[in-house]
Amino acid sequence: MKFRERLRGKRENVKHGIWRAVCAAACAMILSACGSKEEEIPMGRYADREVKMPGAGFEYMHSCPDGSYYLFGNDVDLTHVAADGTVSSDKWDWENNANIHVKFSYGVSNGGAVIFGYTPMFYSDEEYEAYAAEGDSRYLYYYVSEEGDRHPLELYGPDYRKATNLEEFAFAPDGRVYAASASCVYRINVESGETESLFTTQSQVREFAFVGDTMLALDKDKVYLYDMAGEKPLEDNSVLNEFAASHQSGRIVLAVADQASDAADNQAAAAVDGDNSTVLYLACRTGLYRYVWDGSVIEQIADGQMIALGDSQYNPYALQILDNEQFRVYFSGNYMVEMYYDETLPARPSKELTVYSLEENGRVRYAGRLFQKEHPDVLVKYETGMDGDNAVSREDALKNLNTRILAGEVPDVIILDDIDMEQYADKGILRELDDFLAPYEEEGILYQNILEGMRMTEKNKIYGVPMTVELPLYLGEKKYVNDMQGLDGIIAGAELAREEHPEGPLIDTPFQENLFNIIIPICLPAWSKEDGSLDTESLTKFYQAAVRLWELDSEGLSEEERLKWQQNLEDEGSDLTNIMFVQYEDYYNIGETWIALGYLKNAWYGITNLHTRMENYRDDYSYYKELEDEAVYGRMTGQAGNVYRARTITGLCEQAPEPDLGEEFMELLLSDGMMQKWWLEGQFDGGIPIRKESVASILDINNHAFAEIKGWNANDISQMYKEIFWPTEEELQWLFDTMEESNCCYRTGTLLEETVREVGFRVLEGELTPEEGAKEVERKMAISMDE
Amino acid sequence: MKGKWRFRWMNRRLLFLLPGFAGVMVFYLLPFLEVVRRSFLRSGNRAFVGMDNYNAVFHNAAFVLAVRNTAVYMAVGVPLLMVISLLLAMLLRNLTTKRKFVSAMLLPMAVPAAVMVLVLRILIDRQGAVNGMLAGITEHFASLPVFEGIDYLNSGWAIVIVLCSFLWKNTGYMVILWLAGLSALPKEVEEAARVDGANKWQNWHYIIRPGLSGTTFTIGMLSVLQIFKSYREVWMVAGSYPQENIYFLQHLLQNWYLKLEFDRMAALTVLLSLVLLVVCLCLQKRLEQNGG
Repeated sequence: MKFRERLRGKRENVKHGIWRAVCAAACAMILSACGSKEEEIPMGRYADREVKMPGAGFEYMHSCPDGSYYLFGNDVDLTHVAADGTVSSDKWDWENNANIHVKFSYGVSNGGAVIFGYTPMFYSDEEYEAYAAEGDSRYLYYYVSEEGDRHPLELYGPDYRKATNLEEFAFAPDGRVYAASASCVYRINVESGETESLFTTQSQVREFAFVGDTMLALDKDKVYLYDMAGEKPLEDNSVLNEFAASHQSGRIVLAVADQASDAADNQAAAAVDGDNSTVLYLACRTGLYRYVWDGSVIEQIADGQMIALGDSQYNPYALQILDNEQFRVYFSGNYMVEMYYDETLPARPSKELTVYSLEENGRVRYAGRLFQKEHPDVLVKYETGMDGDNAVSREDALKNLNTRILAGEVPDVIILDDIDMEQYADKGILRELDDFLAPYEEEGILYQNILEGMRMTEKNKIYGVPMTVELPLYLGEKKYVNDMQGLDGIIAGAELAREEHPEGPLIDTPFQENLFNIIIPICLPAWSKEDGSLDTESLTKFYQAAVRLWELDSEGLSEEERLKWQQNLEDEGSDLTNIMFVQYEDYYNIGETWIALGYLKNAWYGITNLHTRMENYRDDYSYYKELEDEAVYGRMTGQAGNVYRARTITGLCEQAPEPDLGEEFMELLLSDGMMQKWWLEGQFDGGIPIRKESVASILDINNHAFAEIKGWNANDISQMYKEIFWPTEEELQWLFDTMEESNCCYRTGTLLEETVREVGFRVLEGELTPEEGAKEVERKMAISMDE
Repeated sequence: MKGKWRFRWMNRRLLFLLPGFAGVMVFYLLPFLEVVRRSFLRSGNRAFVGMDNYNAVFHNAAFVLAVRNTAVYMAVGVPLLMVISLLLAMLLRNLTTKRKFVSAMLLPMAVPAAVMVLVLRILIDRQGAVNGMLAGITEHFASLPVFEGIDYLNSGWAIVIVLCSFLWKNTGYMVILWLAGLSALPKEVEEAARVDGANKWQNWHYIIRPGLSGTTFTIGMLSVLQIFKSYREVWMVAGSYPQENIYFLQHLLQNWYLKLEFDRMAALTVLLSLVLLVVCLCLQKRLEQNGG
């Protein structure tokens, strides 16, 4: 008995001992992890430098294994840039006589052979009709050999139809040519034109690469593998497919570094594994990646946020592997960078600037990229609530943002487009900007009237600054729009125009939504009374006006015509808040629009075609002046006076982790350089800057640089020219004065607008009368106000 | 010695309970305590405001409206669901083909919310099937006044529509629970009562009803929870600001979340939890009194 007790006691002791040892080990591990050892910052990361292009107008790059590359495009010669930078161009004088109008898709071989698609010139209706009979927008193809022999390619094959457009070409290392249409990959015999269908794809293949006998064809979300020797499709590579599927926004470009190949001398440095395995490099917006062929993982070697790849302004078009672990990337917009490994830069910047916006904003991403360049020690994290790759709704995105704020993860800078600024200001999330803006006010740099329009009535403070504004504008024949004031003025003009033109559209509103896009911004600020309650009388009048305008517009169109119009525009993906003025023979909409209502955005003077998109200042004037004295323009007014539409409203957060960096970022956005980018160059959807000197920079443009504009007739793609009428000093002064007068802000993202639109559709459909509609809005807003 | 052994045994039991309890602590109790703490703070600067948030909630007109609607919805919806499902269960109880009926009644549970909402819209839209049918009837009979259509979701009918969809979706499930409760009752007792001359009412009143008290409690609680869950369909059909009769507490919470009213949300959550706790305790006490 005693022995048993002693034995039990010993067992207990052993058990306790084990427990104590385990506890001690756990404590030691925890303590060692929490040690105060100083963290060493690892050094080295990829950086980039811009490469000066040998000319303008290039649209395509082919990289050669020897480090040289070819550039090509529609209106430019085939240009070769050797590895040492020597530029040589191949003059194609013969092209003018080859009946080539516009070149579209290209493929170049390592030796300089070229294949391209084009649309032809037509010299008679018969020629056009013969062409159109087999597909009126199909491409023809041309082949130029390395030796300069050239001939049109008449493609044929059992699975090839002439109406099929080939958008992508590639020369394989063995000299064979592959091409891709929207749903198929072909092999082409460039001598005979025989075209053989190899396999089908889900969408347009945008990139080809070759690893030994294997061809890789990458479409939007999948990599297709094809055995060129065995002439059969290969099994999917799940690693590559997963990568493609998760990087659908923007393009992915590929480059192969094969140590076993003849090109090993030049590319060995890039394939750093030290063995003979083939390494595939992939570049896309999120960064540069390396994949050892047939491996199970894709490794990121450069973060897109810290190099040019992350710039949403450009899409990568080609990737080239250079010596010393360097890479060359060619982007859309004829922009090229070289990426190199810089050991002096910290692997991860020590500071972080977080910028948040609900939707992708190109100008913010571009500014982030500039900021990153100027501050190598700062990582600019640009986060969007709805990034397009997922189905996150606006409400879900706002909830996510609020959850983050609740958890203390506050961004430094917040873009308030489509976000209810007042709520965030009320809750102390946003910082008041009066102090920040004081120096700008003292020196009169910004339009103070625009800033005053942003002042919140209750707190009398400014919490958000728009980077650009858009001005409501009407444009049309004098008899309809002369001195058109208020909603009644718009209705009166529309009624007169309808009387004289009983058929066709009247104002450019194919969808009910377009009508609201035009008239809500000029009325919304008038619907709230001083105490914040809804002015139902004004809202009723608004609905009455909307119903009348919709009736007038619908009177000239049958249901079928409207549906056809809507379908055309959906296919085009047009933004109809821009003014369109379609009284010319070359427009693509049905019917005629007699009153143009919209928003003036930018002063872009590059002309692409004669479609009458009236979004830019100079084009507006050019077109409207063709009507000479018959046409007038002016500020469109609704129920609120002197409204401007605010865009890229930027705020700083009160609890921002890096408040100074946030301020610097805002200063960058407000700088003259950035403002001119979207005002004069029309980039990132344009907009009139709120910086006075930037708006005035329109005066510095050489007005006589162009006397006429070149375009193509939308019907037969024939070339045509139109005279340019540059704005006079008086007209420019009108613009400056109108900017000075604008003091009533229209912001998106308010519950009131959302509700008015939602109920408005029912009013236009006749489900509710305007009075009922206004009451419905009042009821919904009453609950919101009570909340 | 016996006491020591018992203590050790208790310790071991506690050890087994520890993982589950830790999970409840980490994922439920501690966050809830944080919510309680925040209900006394201002959401922006987190300053202590005492009972201000609770006062703000009680004086909020939207809160009063939401509480009233939720209470009405519950007071009507829960008993209706329980009674209808019990009646159906009693009818099905002795049927040999009850399985087929039960399977059919479970179908609404399998219908995704989005599909249900779509069907509802097709039926009750102003230009929907129900209005079309009624208009057809009035056209057929010249003596009837012209039917102009009802906007069901934007009129007093909205609460009826919501109740109907709630009953349609949940009745089948509740019938199964009732059937399970009924099948657990000893048949011998009922048979003995019938032999002794008890009629159907007496059988129900003295044997079945008391025997179902445990099931009643469970079904009651589940019905209350289902009422809260049915908010998703209401939101999908009528949005964040529906007709005022179907504006529930969840609408208020959801909208407050979007408006960053975290302080009021915290106060309301604490209040709701207290109410639910009291309801549960009362029901349990009632159950215990009935010997359930």
